[in-house]
Amino acid sequence: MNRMCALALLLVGALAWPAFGEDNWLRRSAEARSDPSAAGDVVVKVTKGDRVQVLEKNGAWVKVDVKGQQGWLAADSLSGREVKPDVRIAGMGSSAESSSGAAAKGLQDMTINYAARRRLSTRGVDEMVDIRKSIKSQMLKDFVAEGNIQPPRRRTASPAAGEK
Amino acid sequence: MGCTFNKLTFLTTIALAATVPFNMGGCADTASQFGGAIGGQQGAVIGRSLGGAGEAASLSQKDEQAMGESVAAAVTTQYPVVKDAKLNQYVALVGLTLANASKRPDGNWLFAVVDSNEVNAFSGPDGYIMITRGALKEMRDEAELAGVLAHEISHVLDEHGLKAAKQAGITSSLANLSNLDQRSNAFGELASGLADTVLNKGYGRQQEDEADADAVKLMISTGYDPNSYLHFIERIAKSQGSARGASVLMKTHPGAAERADKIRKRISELAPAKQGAVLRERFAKMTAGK
Repeated sequence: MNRMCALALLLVGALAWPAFGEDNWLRRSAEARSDPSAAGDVVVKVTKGDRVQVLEKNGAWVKVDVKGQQGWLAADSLSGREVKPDVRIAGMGSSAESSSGAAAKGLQDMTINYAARRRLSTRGVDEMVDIRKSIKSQMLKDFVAEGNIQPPRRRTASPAAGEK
Repeated sequence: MGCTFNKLTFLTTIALAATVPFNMGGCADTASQFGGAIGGQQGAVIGRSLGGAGEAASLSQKDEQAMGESVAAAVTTQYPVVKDAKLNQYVALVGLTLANASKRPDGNWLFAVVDSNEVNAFSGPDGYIMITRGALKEMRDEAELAGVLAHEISHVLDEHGLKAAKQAGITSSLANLSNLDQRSNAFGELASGLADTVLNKGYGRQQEDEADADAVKLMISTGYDPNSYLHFIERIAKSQGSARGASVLMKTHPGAAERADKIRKRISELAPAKQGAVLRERFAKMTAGK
């Protein structure tokens, strides 16, 4: 019985996992990374409904081909069924895509309009982006290794650094 | 706390963003808990202007991103990001360590320390997470910091803000409004409401409990000791009961002690044996003199 359950779980898992070489669709916007890491450099921004092809997997990550570029996305961001993109209104995009010349870097036009009306500064938002960009995937790897931060199953008995 | 301890508060939050199609727990009556920002008449007005309730469409992802940026702009206008690159990087590294173990490691996770003596943290849609300098001063180790950040990350992943918006009648996509001025006005009302919740009103108890439960789970799956988060909440609870706390916490969330009980129970369910990184020394080194 247990074996049957295990087989059933394996089957469900296999069906849920994005298949190699087949089309998959983004079910939410995400940032494809250079490495399978939250701190990986952003290779390309993908949006809901974009079609990708899965090339490789690594843990909870999958390497995909999208818009002619390769990058890593969370497997959870993909769907095996076609996903329709959000409707967009002409003229409403990000400042990076528009010709508004907004001072804010890559912010949505809606944000810039809102901030201007309410006299809010977007400087802090830009600073947050800069903080994030200052962190590279190797830096995060070193940080995690130095602290011996690992899930219970992978935790080593060695350095008690994490317990200090 | 997402929440709701204004002033000596900790964790005010709004997490409208999260476009994650999973939910870690029930939050069906968000609106009933969400007495703040976009509830009540304001929410109804916004809901009507956006096309009224009853339509199943959700906010577009661009709208959600803009909402996150707007909430972050509101928070950082009131509390500027501290000019300390090392400290900001440290907090971001802890946050990204957690994000990496979450269901959404490819999200737009952004972290910063903001200049305020209040004990508080904020989160906005699309992964904007800010913690006050005052909160860091109350902490004793890195796992406590991880607990607070995990709580905020959970608000984002659990789509608490988005659910609140839907309950307030905003169930139709902003994109359904073809007039740009109308759309901009409706967005502005919604963003202001959310920012007010984040900065002043906070979430309801159910959202706090859910974010706490998910924070414990995320800490364990990352490799941080969830007991540190419990210790921090317990200290907040004691502070709320003290003369100092009472003087500051007139409007604040009164439930830290109850939350601590629930967090303790959650830890005993998920990780009965003490385990995980605490990193007291690294935290002390990285935050010394800040």
